[in-house]
Amino acid sequence: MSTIFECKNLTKTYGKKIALDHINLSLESGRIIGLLGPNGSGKTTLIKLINGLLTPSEGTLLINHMVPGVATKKIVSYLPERTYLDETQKVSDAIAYFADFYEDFDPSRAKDMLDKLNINPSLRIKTLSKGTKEKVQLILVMSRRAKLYCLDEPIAGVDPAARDYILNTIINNYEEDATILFSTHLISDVENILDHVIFIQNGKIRLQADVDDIRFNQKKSVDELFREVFKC
Amino acid sequence: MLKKLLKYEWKTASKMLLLMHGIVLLMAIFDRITLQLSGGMGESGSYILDTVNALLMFAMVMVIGSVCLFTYVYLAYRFYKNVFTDQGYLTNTLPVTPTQIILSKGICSVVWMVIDALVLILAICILAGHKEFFADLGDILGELMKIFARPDPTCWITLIILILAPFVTTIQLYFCVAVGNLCKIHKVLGSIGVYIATYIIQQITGLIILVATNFDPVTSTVTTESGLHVALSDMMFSPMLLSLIFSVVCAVLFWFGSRYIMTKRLNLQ
Repeated sequence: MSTIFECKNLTKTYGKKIALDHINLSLESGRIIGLLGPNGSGKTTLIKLINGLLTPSEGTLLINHMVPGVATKKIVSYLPERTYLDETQKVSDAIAYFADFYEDFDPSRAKDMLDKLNINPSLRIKTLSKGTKEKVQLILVMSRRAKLYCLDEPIAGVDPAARDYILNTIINNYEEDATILFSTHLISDVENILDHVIFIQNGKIRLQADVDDIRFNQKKSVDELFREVFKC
Repeated sequence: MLKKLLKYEWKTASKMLLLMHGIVLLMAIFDRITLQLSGGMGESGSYILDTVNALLMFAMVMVIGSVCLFTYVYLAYRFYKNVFTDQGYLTNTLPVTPTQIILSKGICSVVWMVIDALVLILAICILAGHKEFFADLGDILGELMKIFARPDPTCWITLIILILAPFVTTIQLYFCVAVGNLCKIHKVLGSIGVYIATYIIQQITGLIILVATNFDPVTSTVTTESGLHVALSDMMFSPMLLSLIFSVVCAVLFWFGSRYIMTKRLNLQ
């Protein structure tokens, strides 16, 4: 397996606050990786750095051996924790927009998923509920055949039934050689789909392990280990 | 990719701007019809009709002024919204360069600034247009053509400054928005502050240029028509040339400043 992401001494500060503190990390392709940590631990900052939305204060990061730029944006599919679509657009306009800019976007896959969720493509995004907007964004992001998917809290704002749908969508729609980096603090909902976990706290990596190793060698669930590591 | 960015920028920005400029033209037509039917401004013979005409004309002036101001603010706001707010999470993760983003929005902005000026001229023509007005306008345009037909560098420099104006204004607005977004809080207020600061610097530099080149409009009066042109032209050459150089330097600084912030200092929090 090749390395899809690596960073050395990656640091990000906001004024005096250290959001990421000299992180060293290497992620292999073809895995579903959980970026787990309490609120404010640095999960979103790391994902934003990968997507070029923040610039590092110190250190380096490489995506598929390239620094963040046009070439990496072609292979990274990003779902932020907020609505980033132009809400005056129709859902079909957003599909056309993605199809225009991303060569790896598959409109038929997006339309199939919209059909399954009974979302009318001719509706304007601003008329959709918060949950439906999140589903539309997830559909757009997962309809790309990307090498790295960065999903920032994709299940945080939706009901448990929708969570199942979202997780199924993620599992069923990513390429086998692709990597999914999945940030969340809702461990029990996602632990069954994860191959690998990274525990992050106060901008530092607390633990990094394969889920099988946690289950079979440590005889714990990821949720149990999370509670143990982040015990208040 | 630039072509695609331009397509979407033009489509989205034009919805609102077409509507606003359409209102200006419709209002100009309405005012003209009202003036025509009532016999003209202050000549209707009725106090009420004259008052209505005056109010309509006042409203027209206010609408034209507001739409001009709105166009500039809206174009700057679109850059801010697309690049530095939630929509920036998509704009900045598209496989395009910051240069392409600035260019696509900038080209659209320049075109709309030109349309804005043309709509303003058209609205005035609709309101004030009659035989003598168009005859005078034709004479003025004829004179202008004669001036530009002469090998006079001052005229050409003035023309280049006029052509460059929407480009310089656009990149200045983008630079102010980009610098304002380096503020931790009150980013919009920061952008307005940067605009005021750059505007003051530009005005002071303009004044320094006039003083340094010994520009004195009082002593420039020359009796003959051709003599007047020559004297003014000679006197204006140095200040206009320096103004042009200053405009170009400003535009280059604003361009590289905006590009640098979007490339190296982008921090969407």
